[in-house]
Amino acid sequence: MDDSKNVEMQVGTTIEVQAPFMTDAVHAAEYVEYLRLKDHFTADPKAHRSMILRLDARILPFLFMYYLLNSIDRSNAGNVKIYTFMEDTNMTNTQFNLALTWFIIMYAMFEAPSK
Amino acid sequence: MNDSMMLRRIGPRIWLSSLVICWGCVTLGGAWVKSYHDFVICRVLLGLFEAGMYQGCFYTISCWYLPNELQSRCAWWYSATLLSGAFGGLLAYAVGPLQDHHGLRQWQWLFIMEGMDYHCQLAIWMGIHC
Repeated sequence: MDDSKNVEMQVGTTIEVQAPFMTDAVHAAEYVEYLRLKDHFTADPKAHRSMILRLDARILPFLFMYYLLNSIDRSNAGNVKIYTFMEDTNMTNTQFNLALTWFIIMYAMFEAPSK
Repeated sequence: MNDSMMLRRIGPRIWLSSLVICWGCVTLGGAWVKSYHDFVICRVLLGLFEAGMYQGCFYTISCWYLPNELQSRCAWWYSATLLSGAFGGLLAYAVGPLQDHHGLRQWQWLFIMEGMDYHCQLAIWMGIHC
């Protein structure tokens, strides 16, 4: 992952930057901008840390709950089978498994284009 | 429709919340499943709506953190799967006493509780707060 030399000239600029990985000419300007912003934000460790903590408090709990609900929903079908689900809907085991297979098919089909 | 496209256009606050509301409504509707065909439709729609959430969440997290912080944040977020194994069974056990309560069976109550209480509340909360 490291370069043969630690320093490289960014194409289009006269800056020598410490590059942890190879960059090509197309992304040079973006990378320089990214480094500038990164230095700007990580300059003050305490402010950076407080910003990170605020971000954590705003973003992570919600996404955590979303994913939790997602997983519970998926395992819910198995839970429902314990109760009188099969008799009430007159389904056989094969049909139940087929329904879950359809779920997986749709999940995979729509997750792949989502990058 | 590409999920990342919608995410960039609408923003995670609205997109992820509406996704959660949609699959909450589908789960809620699953309580009135009468046959195999209804159940298949229910699961198909569920797969449709739930698929965009994983990538959307990951993309949202990756937008806000530096790479060295991103790993631990991602691990914390992904550990929700472990917790779901714990609470899923507990939830299913909790609706045990509700057999034929108001004329609805236990599994129907499970779907209703899943769909209505948690999803819609959480999504509305997220939509307002974040």
